[in-house]
Amino acid sequence: MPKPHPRVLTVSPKELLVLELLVRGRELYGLQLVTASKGRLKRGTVYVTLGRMEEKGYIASKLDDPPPGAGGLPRRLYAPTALGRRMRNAWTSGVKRLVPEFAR
Amino acid sequence: MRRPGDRLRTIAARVCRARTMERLIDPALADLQVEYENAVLRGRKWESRWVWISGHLAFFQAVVVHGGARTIGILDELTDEDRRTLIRTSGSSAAIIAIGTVVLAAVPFLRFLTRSDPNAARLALYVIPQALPISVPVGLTFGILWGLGGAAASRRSRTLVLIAAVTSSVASFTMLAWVAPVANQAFRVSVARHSLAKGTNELTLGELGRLLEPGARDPMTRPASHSRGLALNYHTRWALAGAPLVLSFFAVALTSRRQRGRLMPGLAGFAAIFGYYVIMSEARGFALDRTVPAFAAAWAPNAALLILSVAVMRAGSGRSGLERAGDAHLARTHTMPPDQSTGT
Repeated sequence: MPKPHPRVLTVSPKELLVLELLVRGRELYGLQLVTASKGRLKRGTVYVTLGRMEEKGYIASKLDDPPPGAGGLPRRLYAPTALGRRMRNAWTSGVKRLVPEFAR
Repeated sequence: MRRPGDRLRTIAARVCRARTMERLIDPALADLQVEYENAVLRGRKWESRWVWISGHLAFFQAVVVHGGARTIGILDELTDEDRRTLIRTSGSSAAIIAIGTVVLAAVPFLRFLTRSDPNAARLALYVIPQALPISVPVGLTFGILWGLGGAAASRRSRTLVLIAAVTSSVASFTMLAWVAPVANQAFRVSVARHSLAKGTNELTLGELGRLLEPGARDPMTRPASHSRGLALNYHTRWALAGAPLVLSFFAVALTSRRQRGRLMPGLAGFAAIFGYYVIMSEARGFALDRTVPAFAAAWAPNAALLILSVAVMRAGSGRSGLERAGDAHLARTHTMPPDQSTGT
């Protein structure tokens, strides 16, 4: 009997960073997240992180319109889900309570 | 117009699941294409080249990280029975590989051992890289048949065994391409006690490849007929590196059938290994006679065993499908209320 997945309601520092960037208001592409993170997210791992977060239900994605000139692959846009926002809020407020230095 | 990443996507689409394509491959390649196109439209030649290189590197990194994460995911889900099966498989494989390596390495080594050479230990080490590409596929085949056989191994166990087989194939390739040729040459020089020109088996894969290029000059001035041998040697090293994976796949296919006992699968495994090396030897003769191209001769054993494995797997799945139908029928009969099952 397989063990229940232990990572379902956990959030890693990278996942929290992605949520922070997405919660600021708009949908972003993977590469835009890499740029916005100022080097904290890497181009080679960002889609693995995003895929895992989508599996956990923290973010949702949709395909953008195909690029003009046809033939290229459409890009994928990411946005936080309600669960993702709640996780991010709970985590941030929890950290602030436990380590008040972070709140300043 | 072909865009950067189009070919990679075609290859990935053949091996990856739809979900992986949707979540990992396509988004990564879409970003690469858009970024590359923007750089080209702005007329920034060097930037577009940089985007091409960094985008491809990032893509491969993503694939490796995803593969690792998938493996860890499978490891997380292992049951106690899976662990026992994998320990049995890896233990028996390792034991057979160790015994096989010692036996194969001892054959050329014994001649020099009797001379009580002070370099005996070093000479023994030089022989091991030659033995490993043979002992590893043999050990894996029997290890899998012993470890996974006799019980219904889970899909997770079989996937992990095949991942180990892929790793073994990569290790075998390293041995055949670079380590064994260098060790061979070191062995020969140690025994002769003076410098020697490299023979075909002592050339690394890169050196062999360069000799096969049109217009390349062979410093050994070998006869023209020897170029066939060179080409065969070159392709055989690539193909032989696939032996651990192909033979493991065959063993996994055999164990995926419901079976009783380990004797019949063991005999089938022995026949597969024997057949593999017989085909290799026969095909080699045809290649040297120019009846078949060197590439085809080198890959013939892998192709034959792969076809056989798929046939065994299909036969197994057909049979287990029938068995499942039978089991379902039995289950229905057993779960029926007594009044229905007895017809009253």
